[in-house]
Amino acid sequence: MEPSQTQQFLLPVSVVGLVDLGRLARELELLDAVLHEATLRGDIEVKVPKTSHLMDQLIEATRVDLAQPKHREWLASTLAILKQQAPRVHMSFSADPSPQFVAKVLQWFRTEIHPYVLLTIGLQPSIGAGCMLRTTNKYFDLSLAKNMSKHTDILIQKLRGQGV
Amino acid sequence: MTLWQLILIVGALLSTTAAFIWNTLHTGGAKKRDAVDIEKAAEDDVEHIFNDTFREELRNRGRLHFEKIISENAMFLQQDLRLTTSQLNDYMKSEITRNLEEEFQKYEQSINDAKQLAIESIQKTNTAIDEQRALLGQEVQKQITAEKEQLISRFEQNMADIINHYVLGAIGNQIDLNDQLEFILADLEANKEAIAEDLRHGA
Repeated sequence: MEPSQTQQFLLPVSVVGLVDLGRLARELELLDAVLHEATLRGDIEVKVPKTSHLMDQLIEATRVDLAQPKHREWLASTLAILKQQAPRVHMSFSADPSPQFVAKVLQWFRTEIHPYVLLTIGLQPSIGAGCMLRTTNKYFDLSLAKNMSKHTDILIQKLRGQGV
Repeated sequence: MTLWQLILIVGALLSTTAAFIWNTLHTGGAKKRDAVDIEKAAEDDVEHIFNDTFREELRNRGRLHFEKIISENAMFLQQDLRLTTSQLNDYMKSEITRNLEEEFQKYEQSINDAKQLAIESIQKTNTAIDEQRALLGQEVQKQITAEKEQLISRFEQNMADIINHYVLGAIGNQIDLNDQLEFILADLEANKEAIAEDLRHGA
């Protein structure tokens, strides 16, 4: 099976950011080199080496056959295009998020914003609760402090209502 | 016998003597020798009458009389002097008393005036102090109110940070990111359009 040009490339949520893309590209390059050498050696049956869990998920999502040179070429070119053109966002949290948490957030981005959003996770303990989001040109403060400052009037009203 | 009586007697004697001498000198040449004799006899009589003893007696009597007069006059003078001194003392006492009373009245008046001035000055000072105290109180009250308003304003301005800091300090370690997922996704949903717009048109 050869992937068509119109086929929707599904980027799994396990591929979070540029690091994962680079890792996949390097792994794919190694695979291609190994398989190319096997072809050059004239091996009748080319066996795809064991791949990483990330690559497995990508293969499963894209339904490519890495034994096929054209599939590998297409996948490599797609990864290169993604690396250059995919929209990127940066999110900072007060603690290291779990992979499940990142997957849910990334799923939201790829569902609601863009299917190829790449996410970079940062650590900022002073946030406390919530997160900071940085896109190409904008900065969104989604922290608890910012949320409280937005509702200062309500806090003041509550405080004065209690006779403070 | 007074001094005047003595002078009168001496004067009478002298006038008699003078009349006698004049009569002798003017009785003529014939009688000149007699007159000389008479004159000589008169002189002898005069010398006999007004001898040294008599003169001394007259002198003593005159001295005594003069001393008596002087003593009496001295006594009168002493009485007058005492009287005058007494009157002068009374006068001086009355004058000094009057002057002292006047001065005392002046002093009292001056003291009263000074006292009145001091009282007025103290009253003015008290009034000024009260006004200053009132102004100071108002100013302090104003400053306290302004400070209070400033503190409240500052607290209200930084209230979000204060509460956030308190929340973080109190339960910061207990907030799990998974518990925040719903909150974060809601915020992302609220900013979805802006995020998508920026990612679509971003450089």
